[in-house]
Amino acid sequence: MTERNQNDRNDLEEMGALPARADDLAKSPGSESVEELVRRAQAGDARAFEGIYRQTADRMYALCLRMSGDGEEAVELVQDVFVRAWERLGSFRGESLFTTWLHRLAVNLILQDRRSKGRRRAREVTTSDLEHFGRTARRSLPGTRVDLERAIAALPDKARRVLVLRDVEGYKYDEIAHMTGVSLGTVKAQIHRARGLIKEKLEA
Amino acid sequence: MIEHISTEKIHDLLDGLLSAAEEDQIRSHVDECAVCRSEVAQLGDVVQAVRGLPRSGKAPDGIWEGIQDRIDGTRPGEVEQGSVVEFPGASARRRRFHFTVPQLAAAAVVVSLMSAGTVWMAVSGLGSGSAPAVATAEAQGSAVRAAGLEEVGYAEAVRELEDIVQQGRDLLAPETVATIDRSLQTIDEALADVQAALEADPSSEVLGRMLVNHQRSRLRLLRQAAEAVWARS
Repeated sequence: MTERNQNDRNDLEEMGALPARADDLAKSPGSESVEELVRRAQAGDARAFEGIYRQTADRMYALCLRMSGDGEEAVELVQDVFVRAWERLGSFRGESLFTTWLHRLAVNLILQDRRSKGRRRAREVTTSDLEHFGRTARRSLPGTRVDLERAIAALPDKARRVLVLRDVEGYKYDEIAHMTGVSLGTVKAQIHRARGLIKEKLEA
Repeated sequence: MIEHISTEKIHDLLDGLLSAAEEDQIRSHVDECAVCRSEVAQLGDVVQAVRGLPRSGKAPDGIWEGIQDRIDGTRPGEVEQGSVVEFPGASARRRRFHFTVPQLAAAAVVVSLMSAGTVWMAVSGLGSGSAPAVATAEAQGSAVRAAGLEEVGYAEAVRELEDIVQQGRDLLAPETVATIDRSLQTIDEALADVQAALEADPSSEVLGRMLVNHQRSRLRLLRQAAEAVWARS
């Protein structure tokens, strides 16, 4: 394993994207590893790509659900992520773990999608939306704290996205600033605001 | 009077961003100050709770079928090989665009020239040259300065240019895309400020002119970005 692969693995383990000490993230009993599936998928094997989806979809869905704060939008985003991954498979050279590559592709796509929408319409979250989101979270994120998930979903879009990237996904402040295209100070201010709003929400 | 720890410092403490000396100093203060102790504990609970959320979930059934529909009959890397540029984030339910690169290039040039030109003429009061047209344009220009460019197709022009830039993002260097996004955000923030001020003082000519200037800047930036897409295609 290259040093870069090891670093990626360490980062992912810290982020919880990988089970710690798992020799191969993607190796589950009776199945091929993601890396093996990727090689086949790159040759045009759509069934191998489905195998990649089966092994990584739950993680991608949780990311998309929290970043969007909307169950239906999360489904669309997951589809977009995997379609984009299929289109880009040729550019994956194995210099990082595939899951690292996929995770970053998903984050970039979500941020692009939200930037594009954000310029056209402001998102309004109603109480009904949050109740609906709570039901989705209870069903789709087993073992989670639904009150906390609802508080995160109720945050303003920008604050929610950076909070999820920092406190759930484990990205560093400067990485988030780079990904979102805003200054480090703005990212920190948005995260501090988000935490404060969640505190207020949970106290209410 | 006791000087409490700033909220920023508390977040930095929770994020492990303080030097050892700063952390010692703050922890000493927290030991003695009930207000700060409570604030650190409450925010700490929030941060810990969010960091403890499960990072994986259970994706609903049926997502794969939607993906399969969209990739069926294609091979990986087709887009990478340059034949088609797809609108990022599009899904079957949303509006989708598929342009070949030459189509995209042509669209970038035509739309950027036509849209920006049309709006610019209206704002500048430039008509066809006939007296009635000039009079109309002047009246329109005055209205535009008061109400922004919305009346003369600004929104449509921006939307068209945004679509081109959005579809061509992958053709641009990541640094260029980041610069475009940052610049747009700066302009958008300025626009939002002026629009908010105009709500409070709708008859202000100064604010009206500022609005038009910011909208022009936005249009100009998008046009340049669309031209950059064209240059790379």
